[in-house]
Amino acid sequence: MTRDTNGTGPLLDARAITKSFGGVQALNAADFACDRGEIHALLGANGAGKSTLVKIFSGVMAPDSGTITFDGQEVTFTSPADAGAKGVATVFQELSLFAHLTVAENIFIGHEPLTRLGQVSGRRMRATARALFDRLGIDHLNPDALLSDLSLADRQLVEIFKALSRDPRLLILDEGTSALGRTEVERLFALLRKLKSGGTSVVFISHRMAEIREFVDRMSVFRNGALVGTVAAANCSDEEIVEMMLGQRVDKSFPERSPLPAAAPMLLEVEGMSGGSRLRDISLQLRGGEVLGIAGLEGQGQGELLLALFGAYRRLSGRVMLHGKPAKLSKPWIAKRAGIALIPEDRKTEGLVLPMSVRENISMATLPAYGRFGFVSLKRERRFVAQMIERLEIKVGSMEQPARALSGGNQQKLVLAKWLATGAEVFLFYDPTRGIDVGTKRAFYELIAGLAREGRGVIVYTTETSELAGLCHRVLVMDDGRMVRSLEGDEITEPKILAASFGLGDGAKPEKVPA
Amino acid sequence: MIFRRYNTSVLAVVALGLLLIYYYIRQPLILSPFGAKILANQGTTLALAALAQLVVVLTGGVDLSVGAVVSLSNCIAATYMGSHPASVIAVCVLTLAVGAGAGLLNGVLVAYGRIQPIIVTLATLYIFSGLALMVRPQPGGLVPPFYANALTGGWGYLPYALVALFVVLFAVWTPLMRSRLGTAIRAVGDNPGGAHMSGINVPRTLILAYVMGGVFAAAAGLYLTAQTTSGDAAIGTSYTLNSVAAVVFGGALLGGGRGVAPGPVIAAYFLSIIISVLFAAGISPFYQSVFQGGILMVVLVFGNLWTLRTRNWLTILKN
Amino acid sequence: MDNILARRLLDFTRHGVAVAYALLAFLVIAAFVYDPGLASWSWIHAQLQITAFIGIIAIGQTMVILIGQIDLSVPWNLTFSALVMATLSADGHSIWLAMGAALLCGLIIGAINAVGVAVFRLHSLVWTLGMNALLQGASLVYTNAQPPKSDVPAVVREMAVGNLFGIPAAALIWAVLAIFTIVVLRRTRFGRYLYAIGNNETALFVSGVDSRKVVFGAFMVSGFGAALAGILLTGYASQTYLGMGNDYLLIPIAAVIIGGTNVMGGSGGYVGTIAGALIVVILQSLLSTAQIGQAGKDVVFGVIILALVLLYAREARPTD
Repeated sequence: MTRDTNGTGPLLDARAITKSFGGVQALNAADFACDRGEIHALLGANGAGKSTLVKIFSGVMAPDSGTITFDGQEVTFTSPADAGAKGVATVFQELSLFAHLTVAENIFIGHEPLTRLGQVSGRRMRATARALFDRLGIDHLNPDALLSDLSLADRQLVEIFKALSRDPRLLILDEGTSALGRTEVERLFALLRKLKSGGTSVVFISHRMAEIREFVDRMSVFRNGALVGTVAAANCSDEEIVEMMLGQRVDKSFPERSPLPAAAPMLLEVEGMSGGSRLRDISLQLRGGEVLGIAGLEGQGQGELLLALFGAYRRLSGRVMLHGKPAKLSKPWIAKRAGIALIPEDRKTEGLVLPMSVRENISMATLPAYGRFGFVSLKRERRFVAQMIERLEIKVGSMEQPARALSGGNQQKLVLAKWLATGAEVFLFYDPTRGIDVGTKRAFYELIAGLAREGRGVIVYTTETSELAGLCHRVLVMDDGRMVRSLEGDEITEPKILAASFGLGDGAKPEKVPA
Repeated sequence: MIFRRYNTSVLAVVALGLLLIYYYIRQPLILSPFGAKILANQGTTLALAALAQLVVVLTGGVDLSVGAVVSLSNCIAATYMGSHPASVIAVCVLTLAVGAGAGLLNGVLVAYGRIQPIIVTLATLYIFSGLALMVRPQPGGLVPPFYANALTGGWGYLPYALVALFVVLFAVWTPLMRSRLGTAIRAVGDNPGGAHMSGINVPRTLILAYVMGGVFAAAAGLYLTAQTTSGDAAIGTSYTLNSVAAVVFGGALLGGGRGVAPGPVIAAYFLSIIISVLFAAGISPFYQSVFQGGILMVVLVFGNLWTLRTRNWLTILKN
Repeated sequence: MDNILARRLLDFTRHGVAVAYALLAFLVIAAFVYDPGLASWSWIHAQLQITAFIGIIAIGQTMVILIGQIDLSVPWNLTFSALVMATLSADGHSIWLAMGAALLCGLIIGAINAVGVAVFRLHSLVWTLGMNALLQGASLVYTNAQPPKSDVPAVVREMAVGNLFGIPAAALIWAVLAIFTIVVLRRTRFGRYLYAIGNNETALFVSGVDSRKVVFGAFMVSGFGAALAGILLTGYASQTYLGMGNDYLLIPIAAVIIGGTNVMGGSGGYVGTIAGALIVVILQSLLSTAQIGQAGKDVVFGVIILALVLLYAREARPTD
């Protein structure tokens, strides 16, 4: 089956697409072209702009500038419905499914087959769904099962079928296979090749490069919001791709790593911690003055680990020792009293109360210190907040400004100021420099190194590999909720960390790290 | 399996079953044509009000104005119905149209005014009950006997109330919920962002759901009119709480996405009949509200326990 | 020029408290123009007297709405607590004990409300609605639908309708509580946490603060306020009766919303609520003067609340 097409150029041709959020440039004059009937992988480190590009192609957001040509005609995708009508179907990273609907209802949502009386035809819906399943050789999915009963992998399949059911001209899979097993991925690609021979194009985004590269025709590598280059998948080595993703060695000028004194006291010991949504048998040790990095692909349990250490999970197994004494970190306020600070993943929803003032945010965790009998002495609070603003060089018009009005970097400094105020000993950073400008990043590196020099312990998870290489004394690599590698000394280089995270090279033989 | 969707109704079915058995032991007369009629009549108004509440709850909202719309339609019907069959039919249609209008106002304010459903319907609750009081400052009105009989009478063991309810369920509710709109309503309540991503027109879906709610509430008012044969601007008040209770008891999820009609309808009968059962059991009827409020609270707690099992405090908070 | 003026006007309307006081000033002037006879101390006295009851209930309701919740159990909490006081006092217990029991009763009801919201994480809307029904039944059962007809003790009457320096005693009680409330909201940890919860409970939680305690505080203040209002209303009406709380559900909520507190929580405060409470009372009084019946009042109230909510309390557009 071939389709009617207009012209013979690429199916999708995007030129000079620019998009910024607040002060952060997500896409900077990015180009991207996908041919008719090809499987095209989109690669890049985190924050390279892949997801933003996908959201623009699927009508979720509009670009600030740039042109998109689809099937020979210049178009704008005004909404997901509009993009769908034009023939673009997307499997999103965050699932867009409905827990209380059946598998079939999820797949055909919005374009259900109808009976002559205008009723949704359950029979035809089920039959069509089964036909779809057969094409992928899936026989374990029941069209009548409720989505809430499905495993994560099956939900991802449903999401893929949902996109396929619209018979798209362009199918975009944004991390669409992260939960699928090897055989399912292979079957999926077999189907994608069938679609391709029918003229459908597929854009594929995945961090699991090793898994997908044999299936795709071409790969486009993105870095810092722009296209680095498009290469044929067949004649390109892993090393070349990693190099394209990392780019020229830019000197990020990290602060001097203070040597770890041999007699550094043990601050935090974790043994066999399991629980949360995916943590499995985690063990780690942190000494005073040490910066411990957590690496790995996105979503391998790093966030859960930091939250667990901060007391946000119930019913964790394993042992935690603070200063050599057993501790039970079951609530955030217990962790706070024990001297643990968390700079959380999302400063906008977890770190700050955006509508409240700079002052109120900085003092949020330490209010009892500014007065007695439940009162807050504004004078003492202001004096303290002023000190913090000066110490961290936070750029604010006044401390009564709402936190919302600050730039991303200064907002992140507010979160840090809040925790510095508590005098914590252990600082947990979750991707602290995501979406902040280079200058402030540099200031953050100094702050993190400074915390270590003062003898505090730091655990940092970041998606920027260069930061791990530049800041950490030790790096632990996580995969699927486990610690799989520990890198020390000379091993802490960007390529090695990246390779270990992607499961390439040495990392291909994951070994369990002894505590 | 798809039947699992109906599992949520089991609690209500079992509760009503036990209640009826106990009632029969206390008062064997309920197993007579007359008894069946009384039982059916007692719960039908609330059953219709529960459907009104259910369609809104499915979208993730809640409609506090259900009781006021019941009052308003009761007052309109009892005041203007007259005695000629043609005028009765005309007034019934008018009443349903007023209900649709009330739902439209709620829906537009929620969808386009971007105000929380609670506040919208709390405010319109006062508007609609004010209007009801304007239509009928004092209780009274005239309802032709044939109208009352057509809805509250019976043929042998078959009460007309159940016939009316089944007509509404199978000729109106089921076709609507089996249309694309029905799926869209559940999808919007389940995951509004996902619904938008899937190309569903979310505001339109919300508005239509509230309009449906208004129509069902007006239908409840029409039934109530047949039952009481008079109009009273204050009569609907209790239907707001009890419709929410019936919906929750009937297994629908406050917050949206999950719920089927049988549960709330059966729960409505349970909540209505329990009053007579208390009386038959020699328990003071004063306990009625204690039971209604208490059942609502207990069911709410048990319904939410599984959410609380989550291991992450943050998920619980963001819920 | 017009543009700047329009923008200023728009900014002004977004500032709920300013709008509320402007509306209040406008209403008072309109009242005096409409009926110059109203411009007297006795009229103001009467308004203050009635506003006090609403203002006291609105203290807790302001706090509960600030954390993004709502307390619909006020009407029967008020009635039930008043009945507890009346029964105990009719049984010959000291009036102080009776009042203490009533207030304790309000606190306990508030705590049960908070259990549902903070521990079971239920919608306060349905939970407190259920509570209201439960208390309605409890009131009937407790009194057998026959509230005690004994005389209301003089202390209670004095608190409700007495005067001190020509000012209604109830209004003075309200004034003291109002000042206390404003200080609590602005100068204490509890107050700060209320705003934080209303804006972003997760961020407060991740700051290592037990937000559940704060939720308990807010609902218990609301329960206490309802009980106190019940005591005062008993003195005002010289009796307790079933349904005495029925008018005290929407009116205090309307006062809070008209006073500029965001219905979603997080912003506003009691200063605005004071204006809101005066507005609802004066509006009612004007509507009565203009011979508009209960029906018209209800409709006007609903419309005004909707208009004000549309003006300054809309949800952000649901886009990323």
